[in-house]
Amino acid sequence: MKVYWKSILILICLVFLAACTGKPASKRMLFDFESDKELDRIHWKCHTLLSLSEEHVTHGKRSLKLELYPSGYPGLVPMIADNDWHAYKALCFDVYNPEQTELRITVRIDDYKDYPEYKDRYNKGFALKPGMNLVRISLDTLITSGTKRQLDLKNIYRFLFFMVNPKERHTIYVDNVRLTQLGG
Amino acid sequence: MVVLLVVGIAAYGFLIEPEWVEVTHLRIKCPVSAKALKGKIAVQISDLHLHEIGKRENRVLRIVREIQPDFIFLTGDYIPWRGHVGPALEFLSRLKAKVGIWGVMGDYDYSRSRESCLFCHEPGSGRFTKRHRVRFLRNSVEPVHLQDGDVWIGAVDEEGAQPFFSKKHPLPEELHPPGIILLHNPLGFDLIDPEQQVLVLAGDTHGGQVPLPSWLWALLGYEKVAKYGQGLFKKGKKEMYVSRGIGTSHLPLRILRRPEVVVIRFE
Repeated sequence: MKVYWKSILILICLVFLAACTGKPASKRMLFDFESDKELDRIHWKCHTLLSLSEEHVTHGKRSLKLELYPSGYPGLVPMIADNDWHAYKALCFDVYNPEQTELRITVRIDDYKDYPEYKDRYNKGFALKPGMNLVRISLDTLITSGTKRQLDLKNIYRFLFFMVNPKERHTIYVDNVRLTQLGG
Repeated sequence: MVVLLVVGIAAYGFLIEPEWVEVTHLRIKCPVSAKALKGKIAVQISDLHLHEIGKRENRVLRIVREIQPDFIFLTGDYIPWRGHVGPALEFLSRLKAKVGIWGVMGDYDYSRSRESCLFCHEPGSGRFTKRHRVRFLRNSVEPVHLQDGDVWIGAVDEEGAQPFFSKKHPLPEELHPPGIILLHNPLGFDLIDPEQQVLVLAGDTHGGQVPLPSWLWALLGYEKVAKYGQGLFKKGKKEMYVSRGIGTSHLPLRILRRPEVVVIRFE
């Protein structure tokens, strides 16, 4: 019996030690859109229709299909559960553009909860070429647009991307939204 | 004796008052920009927080049917926190008004984000729902054509417009100034120019559900209840009625804050 308790104690200590000294994983998946439950981790907004798809998948068996309707800023506003990104080097996600022409999205990242103004948040446009695109944002380039402040990577509250004023409906597929230690 | 009193108040607060719907009658002078409302009757319903359509909700529906209003204005929070929208949609489908029904969403209505779309759309589609006749406005203004002229109705939906909503401009300035504005959170009243002659309808506070002094509400962090708990407020030319609503949140308790259906007669 004594040996049994000792073993449990040692095991608990080992778990604590591992938690204290363990390096972060080389990749942290934020969203891979594999299950229906992930659709509840997204802020649903007018003019953006979201559904899981089995097309243009880069991780697992499903991707997220976004139908973006003409309006101000249709796009993806996920609910971020992990606010501390400081152990990682880059935010990456894959976007498939099924159209023949280039599309443009804007990525926005906020580092505080109250909705910061444009000048005090990260905003950057990315061109999506026809076909599969890897969007990679090096975390050391997360600088606010107006105040030129480096974002606090320990307090990332909001990450979203959207189109600005599309005049017609566009469809894109997103998958494998992740934080990485390396290039992608 | 004290124990008996506490038990009596608790029984009243939990069992009787939350079900005891009151009809509040208001006579409101038409805003200049909404003269065509003269003689019309509107009903305001707020904060249903519906789990199911029960006795209380059926009484509300009966009251509305008897009044036969020209307008129904809904000021948000139709569901409980993270509740399902089904019963609320069923309730909305039973509302009828001669001219129309306009509504704004409340923060609770977005608590189950995916389902919030069902207030306006068919499941899994961008098509508008035919299940009810409510026109939900989201930081927009639209005209209503009446015999004696147009009336513009607007609504401020802070939650639904996030993260692009600017608290400095509740309704974009390029829009036609509305005669009636629907809010959920009454603190939005502060963002409206006092020179604008407008009737604002709001809810959200439930009147606090229990009578506490304003300073205590403020201390507890409920600024909206401290400042605009219930009733009529006027600042400059703008006027606001804050409804105590129908349902409850946090605790199913009401003491001296009866649920209310607001009937507005425009003069």
